[in-house]
Amino acid sequence: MKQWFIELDLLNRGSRRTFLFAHLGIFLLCFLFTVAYVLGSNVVSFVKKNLIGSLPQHELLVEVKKVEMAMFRMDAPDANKLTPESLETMKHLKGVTAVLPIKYATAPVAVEGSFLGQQFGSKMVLQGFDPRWLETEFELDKLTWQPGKEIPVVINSQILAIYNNGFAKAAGYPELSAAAIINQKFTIAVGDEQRGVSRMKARVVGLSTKVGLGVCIPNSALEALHEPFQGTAPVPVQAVLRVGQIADVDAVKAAVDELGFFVVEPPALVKAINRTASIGAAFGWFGAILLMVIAISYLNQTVKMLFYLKRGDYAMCRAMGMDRMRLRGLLISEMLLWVGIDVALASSFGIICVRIIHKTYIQETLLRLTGFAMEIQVPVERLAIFALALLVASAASLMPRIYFDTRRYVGAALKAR
Amino acid sequence: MIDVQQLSFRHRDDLPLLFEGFDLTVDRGSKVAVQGASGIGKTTLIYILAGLLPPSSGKILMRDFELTRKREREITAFRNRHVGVIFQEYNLLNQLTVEENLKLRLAIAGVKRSDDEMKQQLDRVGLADLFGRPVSSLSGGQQQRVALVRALVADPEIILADEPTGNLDDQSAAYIIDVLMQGTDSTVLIASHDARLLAVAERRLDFLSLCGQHETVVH
Repeated sequence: MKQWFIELDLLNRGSRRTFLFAHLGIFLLCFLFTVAYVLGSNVVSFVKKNLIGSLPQHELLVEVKKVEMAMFRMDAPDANKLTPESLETMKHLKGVTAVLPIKYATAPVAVEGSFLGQQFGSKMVLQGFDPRWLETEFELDKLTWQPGKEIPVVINSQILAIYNNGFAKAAGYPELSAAAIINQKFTIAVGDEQRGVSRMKARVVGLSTKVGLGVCIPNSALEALHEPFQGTAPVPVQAVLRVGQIADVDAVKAAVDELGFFVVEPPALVKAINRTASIGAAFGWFGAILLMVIAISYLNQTVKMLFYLKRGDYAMCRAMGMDRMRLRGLLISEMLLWVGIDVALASSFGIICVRIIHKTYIQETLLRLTGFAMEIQVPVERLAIFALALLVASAASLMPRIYFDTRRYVGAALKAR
Repeated sequence: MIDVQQLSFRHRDDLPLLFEGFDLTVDRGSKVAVQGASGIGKTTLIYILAGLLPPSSGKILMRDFELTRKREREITAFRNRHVGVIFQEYNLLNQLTVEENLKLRLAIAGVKRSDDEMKQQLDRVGLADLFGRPVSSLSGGQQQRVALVRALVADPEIILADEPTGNLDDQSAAYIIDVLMQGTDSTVLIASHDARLLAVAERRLDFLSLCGQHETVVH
């Protein structure tokens, strides 16, 4: 090892400036790559988590496959039932991160209460949902029901729009804001006089566009309301499949179809955003690969130039007794050592710069523009894979050059000195 | 020590032979000079004997090592252990100091020498004071003396020298001739047309007479 350093040190004497500039170039390329990659990957994560995550593009609404026959909608011949078993099967599909069942009360449901001093009682549809479905809109604590406490209710915001734009105008009643509904208390009654009625207090906690056009409560509350009436829990009629990666959506849809279920198509906007995100990611990868190719090409040219400058010295070393393999080993190990050092330094410096840029400009701007805060996560493993790939690719591209440049018979190389 | 039989060489297949039928025998420890006109092939001969160029045909035996039947890697290893080469153009690494040039040769040979030992070797050619000096700042004569010490520093059994005193002043030439002729136990083969050197060589051989004939002792 000591001998290796002596040889390396002596051979590089006199061309240190060229050598330094060459490695400065590699350092700069690696630095740019690190900054672009760390910043890019964090922005993509930020968009996915906070912006795309707030849209239902990663959620597929699944229901039993149907066919229409004359005036009836019937289960398709290859339809499957939404049972705890089939939900469990869907949970294990590749790409699916959660299965959130949507249930409906099968017993008669009525709501009773008073609004603006008027008593009301009305038959309603009662929907149960998994609170995680609405976690981007509500704090989970707000949607958690505990026995003996008021049931948290979410109302579809379209109901308020229907009232304001239709009923209120037609009857000459005042239009209402969301504040008129939120925190309204009433009683949910499930059952009938003959088989018994189960009653529980409820309170509206908010509006959402996701839930059904009825009274929507957590599944646990629906089951509790339902149980005294029929003695069995209500079965799921729909399920929301949460997909971790956009790229997996198509595969999940195909798998769900194969299981005998129907996927309600996501809105066009979501599709467009997904496509845009995919194109953006593709450009990101293309840019990363391009930077790597430039770095390797630069490295190759650097070695070519250094070899040209030092060809006489290398020939002299061989004339003194250094064999080709040793010279090749010396050159390749030297290059890899320097590239390794360049990459390590450039990555560290790049990460520090990203943190400074984030703290100085990005954090505040994004918070102001989107309302979400962005934290910088350094993808250490991926950076390490890129560094390794660069080293392997560099070695692979340098080996032929070093091989051919040292292949010449030493006497001829020496005479050309 | 060195036995050359029917050696011939051409630079390229489409060119005529530079020389052919070259025979030479050099005994262990002897100091032999081969003389001849410029362009006759003396430098090429040294390169071939050093294993730096492959001959077109013929047989070369150095010690018990048949150079002409070995692969390049084995020849390099042999040269590294047993041969010191002095070139007409010095071929030092100009960016290094005198000390570093010697150290590089020692590192390649895997031989250890202390600074004092290296300085002693330099002292024999009057350069002990220049130990730490960059080679680029030395005169041609001084550089050739450093090249001589570099060839000797790892104690090779065979020294091959190509015009080691060509174009040098008398003082520098005297140092070099003295060391090559009296200052080493190694077998020395010199290619030269320098009368100062040829005058003191143990044996002086004419290049042309060695081609196609038995060696002829001129001196």
